[in-house]
Amino acid sequence: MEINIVHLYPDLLNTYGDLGNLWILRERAKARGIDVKIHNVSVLNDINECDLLFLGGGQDFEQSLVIEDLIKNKKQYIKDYIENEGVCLCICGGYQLLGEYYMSAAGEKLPGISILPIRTEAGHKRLIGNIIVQGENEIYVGFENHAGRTYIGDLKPFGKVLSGHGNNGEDGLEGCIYKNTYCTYMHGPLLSKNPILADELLIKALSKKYGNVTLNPLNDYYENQAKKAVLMRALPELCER
Amino acid sequence: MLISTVGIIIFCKDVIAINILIIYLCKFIYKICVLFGRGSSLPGKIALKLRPDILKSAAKKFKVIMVTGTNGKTTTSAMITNILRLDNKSVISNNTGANMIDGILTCFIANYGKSGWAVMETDEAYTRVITEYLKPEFIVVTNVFRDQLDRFGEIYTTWEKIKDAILKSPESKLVFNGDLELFAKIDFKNPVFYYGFKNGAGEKKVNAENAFCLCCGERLTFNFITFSNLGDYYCENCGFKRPFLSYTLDEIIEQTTEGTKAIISGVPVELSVPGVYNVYNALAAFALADLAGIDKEQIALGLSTQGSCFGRNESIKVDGSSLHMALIKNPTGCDQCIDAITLYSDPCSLLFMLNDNWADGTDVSWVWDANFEKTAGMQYSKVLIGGMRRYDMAIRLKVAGLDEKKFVLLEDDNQILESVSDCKGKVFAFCTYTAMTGLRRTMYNKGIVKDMWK
Ligand SMILES: [Zn+2]
Repeated sequence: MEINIVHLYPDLLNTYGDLGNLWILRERAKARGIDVKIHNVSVLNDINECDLLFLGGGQDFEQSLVIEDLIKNKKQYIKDYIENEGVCLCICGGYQLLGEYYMSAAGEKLPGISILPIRTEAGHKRLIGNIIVQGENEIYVGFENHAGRTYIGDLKPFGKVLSGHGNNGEDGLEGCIYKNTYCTYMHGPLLSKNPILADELLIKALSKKYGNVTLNPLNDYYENQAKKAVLMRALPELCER
Repeated sequence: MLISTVGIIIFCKDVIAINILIIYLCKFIYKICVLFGRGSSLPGKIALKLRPDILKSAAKKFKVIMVTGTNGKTTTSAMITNILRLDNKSVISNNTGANMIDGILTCFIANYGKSGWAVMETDEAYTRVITEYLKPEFIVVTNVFRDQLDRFGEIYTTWEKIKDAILKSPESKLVFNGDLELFAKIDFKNPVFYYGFKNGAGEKKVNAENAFCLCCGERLTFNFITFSNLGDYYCENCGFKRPFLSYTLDEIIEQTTEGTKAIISGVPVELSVPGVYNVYNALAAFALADLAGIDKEQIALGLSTQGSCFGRNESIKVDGSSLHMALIKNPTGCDQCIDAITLYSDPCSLLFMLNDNWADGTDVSWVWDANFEKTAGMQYSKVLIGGMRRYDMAIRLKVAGLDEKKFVLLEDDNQILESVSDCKGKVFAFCTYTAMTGLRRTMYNKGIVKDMWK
């Protein structure tokens, strides 16, 4: 089997170790004998083969350069891809860009590509720190650092906040999920401490391509211990279970 | 003394005199702290509480050199201090890393009564608080890279803070790294002096991963890059380019793990600290010292006798092993340490310690932006891993391609020191700040090192 992973704007959107997520997907796929191709796609490039799309976060200046190209050259492709249940992981700035608009730290209203009905307002205090959320079947841990307050309307959240701030620090929700698109503020990078999620993304992407795919388990001792270290500090009672 | 001080405060209504009294009082507190073996910023904290503008009085007799930037400010400050001292100048400096306002104020209080030069390493976030009360003779900015983004948000925010500081001190002479694009688009009244590389050191590559023109947003082109985004850049679209360099690195003659031989603005220098990043620090110190009127031969002598700063390259004997410690705190600085250490090609062991306390940066994701892949090529027999976030570090090293079978995860400093002595050879350590100070304290308690602070 082979998986094509597209990294959008790796030169502009890559903060807080975003790239680590791709390396982890690559290592986990390789360990199961799956061929991995990572395609870097930036301004003016086209997306060709894609089984898994990744969009990371950037600083305001870089993000403003991205928007123009996204709207002009890639919006339609991404919209069709997401609606057709393509697997997509968007973190932080990449998450905000999928929405209707977001307010920059300087108070400027910048358009998103309006694929999801989400809005990001400006907040003066940055929401920073370790974060723990309860997903549908799993507890996820990561680190958040964002000034934007995101509101997801009727969309399903990525998780409910157990510790930390989440989308806006008010409604107790973190990220959002639409079809096979996962959006979140959690970096860390996210997949380094949440191996089950990494496998879920791989299984969905491969199953879409090859029909029902299962993956044999790996030794995730370090990953689970790293997750436990974050849980132990904020919510020791969760570790008892 | 205390009684007379209180007495004078009661009888004195003069503001300046009160300031001076507060300074003497805090100097007294400082001496008590020293007596009990505690170097701290407490005297500064107290003085600030009593009079927020006290810095102005405390620093009155000094010509101040403010050194700031993400990386290299400690080394650059130490180089400047060493050059000035060798030239028989009277110099004070806050060289133990107390670089926030209370630490800087404490340094002035402790040295009140003296005069001469004051070399002040200053945390980027505090520069504008300092220039509110002090007008430095010189402001040196080494660089602004991504560092502990949880504290500063974004590099542009950090740069805005430094710009604010400079606007409050329009007569300070500025010494800037000319190879960093961010510093070229400025609009100050101050005299500006840039330093940089005349030619690239080593390999030339022309594609910086994420360098875009600050004027028009177009991708920048480079004649060469030294590391990260530093180099001789220009914009093909609008003509924006590297400014004129007043001080240049002309040539690197030899590089080893011990140091670098180079020619700076026509003068041969032998740096006693390794790595290209230290060449930049030396350039900044060279520029500053020349502007301060020091003879060029004297500057070269100062740079060649520069010892290693605390935690920034030192070697400690632990039984049969020699522990070589490098402080890591952000991707750019960490990559420079990796570059210097991977010059070593003989058998050795590696130690990685990752903590996430405030002083380390609470976000450990930066380790994914550092090039640990390069250490996988070393001849290591063991990979020791410690610190509060050791499992995060282990995952990072596993993905970087280091041999998992050689990993040893260690719970505390005692276990780490035992394992280090078992290595019986060179051990290269990469530690975050509190991991390093913690390990050093344990070594101090065991008598392995004589001083807690070197
Ligand atoms: Zn331009």
